[in-house]
Amino acid sequence: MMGLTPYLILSAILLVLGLAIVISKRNAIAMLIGVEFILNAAALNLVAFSRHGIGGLSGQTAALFVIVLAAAEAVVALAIFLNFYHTIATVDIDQGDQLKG
Amino acid sequence: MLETVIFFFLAGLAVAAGVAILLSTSIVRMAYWLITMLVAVGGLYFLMGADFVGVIQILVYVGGVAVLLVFGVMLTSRQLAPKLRPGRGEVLWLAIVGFVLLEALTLSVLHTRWQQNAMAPGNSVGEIGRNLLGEFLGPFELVSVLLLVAMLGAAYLARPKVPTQGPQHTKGTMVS
Amino acid sequence: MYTYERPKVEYKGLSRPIVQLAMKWGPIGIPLLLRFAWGIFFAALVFVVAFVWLVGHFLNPLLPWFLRDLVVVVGLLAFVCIVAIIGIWGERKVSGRIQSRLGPMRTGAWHGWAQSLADGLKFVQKEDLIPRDADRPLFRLAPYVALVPAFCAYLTLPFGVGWVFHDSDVGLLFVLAMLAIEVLGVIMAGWASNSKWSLYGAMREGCQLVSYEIPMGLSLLAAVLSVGSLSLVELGRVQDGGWWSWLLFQNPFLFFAFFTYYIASLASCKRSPFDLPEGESELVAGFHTEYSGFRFVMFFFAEYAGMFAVSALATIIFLGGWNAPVPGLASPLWFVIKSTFLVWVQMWIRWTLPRIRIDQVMHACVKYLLPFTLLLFVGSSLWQLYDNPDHPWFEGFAAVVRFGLGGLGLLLLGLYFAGAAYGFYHRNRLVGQMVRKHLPGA
Repeated sequence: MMGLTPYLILSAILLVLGLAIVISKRNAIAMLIGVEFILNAAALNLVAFSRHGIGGLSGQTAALFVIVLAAAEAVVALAIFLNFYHTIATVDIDQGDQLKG
Repeated sequence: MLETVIFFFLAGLAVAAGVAILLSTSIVRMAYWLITMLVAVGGLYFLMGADFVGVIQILVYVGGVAVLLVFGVMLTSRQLAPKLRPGRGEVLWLAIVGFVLLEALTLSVLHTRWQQNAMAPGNSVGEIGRNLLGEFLGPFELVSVLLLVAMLGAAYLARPKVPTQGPQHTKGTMVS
Repeated sequence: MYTYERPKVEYKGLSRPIVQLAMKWGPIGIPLLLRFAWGIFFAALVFVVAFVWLVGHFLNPLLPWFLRDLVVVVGLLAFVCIVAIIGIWGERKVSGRIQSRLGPMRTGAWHGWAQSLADGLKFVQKEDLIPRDADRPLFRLAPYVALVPAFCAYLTLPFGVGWVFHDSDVGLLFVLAMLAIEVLGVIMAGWASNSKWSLYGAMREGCQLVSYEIPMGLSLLAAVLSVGSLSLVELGRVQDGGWWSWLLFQNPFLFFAFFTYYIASLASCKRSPFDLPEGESELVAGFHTEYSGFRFVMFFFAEYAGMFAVSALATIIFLGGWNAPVPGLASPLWFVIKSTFLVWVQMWIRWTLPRIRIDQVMHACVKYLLPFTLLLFVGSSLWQLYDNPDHPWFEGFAAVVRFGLGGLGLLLLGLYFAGAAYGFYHRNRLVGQMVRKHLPGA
């Protein structure tokens, strides 16, 4: 019977991996991928708590909200990124160092 | 016993996906490792008995967000992009910060005495529905408005524009 | 005199012994197989039935649950393969008849029934070609990403009351989710082929599939509202009162929801009139241009498995699933009959209507199908709100409407059978007498 701690440790590992991806990649879509890792880690955490009796079903409902919000955020981030790509013509976000445009 | 095996398989898959993304240089491969991770986490939801959340994860994340990301990748990586790699010093700092954070989280998790009582697995869909319209009504309505705003914002941002500089693209009107 | 010499191909890996075996024993073995085909078929059938009976009676208490599950999964896989094989053969016969010709008639004595098997053998011995600059791991992975979810959708489909692998509480959404993963397989295939045509096909197909998932889901949710459960077994069980209790006839909104779901599922299976992603006259073969041999077979199987899966979903939710038109005669056979009928209608539509351009496809979804489906959803929920004993007038009106809808359904079915009878009676005139008489085996 699985306890609670393996799920929490897994979500911590996913969080750190996501953070590493966000920090170390220069491609904007790779950063988005890292953010998805972080959000998934959080949702996994919530569902794990709900599954083990803490908080009832609010954990699963909150995980649903996390999924929906992640979708909305991915849409807007991608739209911004496509805008950025059309003006700068490269995917490297280190080139986006001017406040103009 | 079987549950443990499946958990470690899926968890290993998710972590391997993360590490593969860190080590990979092609953005297309990264996108597909992301899909692997999403499906693995969906599998973990099913393993935990959270059927509805698992199905929504696959339907929305894999069928929606991942497709969107792959579209973004395909729209922007047609030219021969230079392989973007982080510098040496960055990697070292990243490793230090990462390990410190991981240690902090893991130790705090291991040293807390959690009250664990397994939730009775059953039909969670009805309960979640009642939650959404009861306890979580405020966030539910706010999320509806937020989705509307996100759609409008994205549609406005991604509208076809005459490019003043950079390569000529065909109008991407079908992705909006 | 020119004689045909077989080109010297170097077979590598696993295909080498298989091809050697086939070339040695093929010219004797295949005619023998076809000569004794019926005998072999019945022997195999008897063997399988005996095996299943033996396992069921003597080993069942000893089998751990996962071995039982394994047997059921293998059975489902066999069912999906048979569906795909019969689907391919049926498609060719149906397309032939609609185009006033006969379709395959030679392979196998009766109307070319062995055509699919012959095609399978042909595909297996083809050269395994990967384009030079293609992304090799993704190229290899893509057919499986397209096929495996199409198969997994069958895991929650109930063929009858006890005939479901896993009666999930969210079975309906599970099937939709599996059909949503297929999108990624197709996009992966298009990208990894490193070919302009494949990429165009893949991107168009991605847009189309993802857009049409919304009307699909909304139409199904309109039906779920009137039942109150996402479980497919429950949705089928509600309709066990006979012809007039099918969800199709509960509501004028649900009646139209069936048609919007069917149209959206046509687009979701990449079937004509929405088959631009694999448009044969436009993009060579769309996203699977560069796939040959067994990988192509996987995509093909995925398509037919998906067709049957969405038809099965329509059957369970709108047409009563495994229930007969009269109460009490429920059987999995009804389920298969109804789903096969819907698949046949899909093929019928494919070979009748012309292909639609991609912008027309997107307009049809966003400007027409989606608002209509939203209206149906709202209308169905309002109907549910008022159709209860608090509003007796409305309840009476609803009963009359249901009666009328049942009659309309009977009328449509009668029209279909009348048309089929007319076609059968005049089949010589319609197909071409010369064609019918001068082919061996006709």
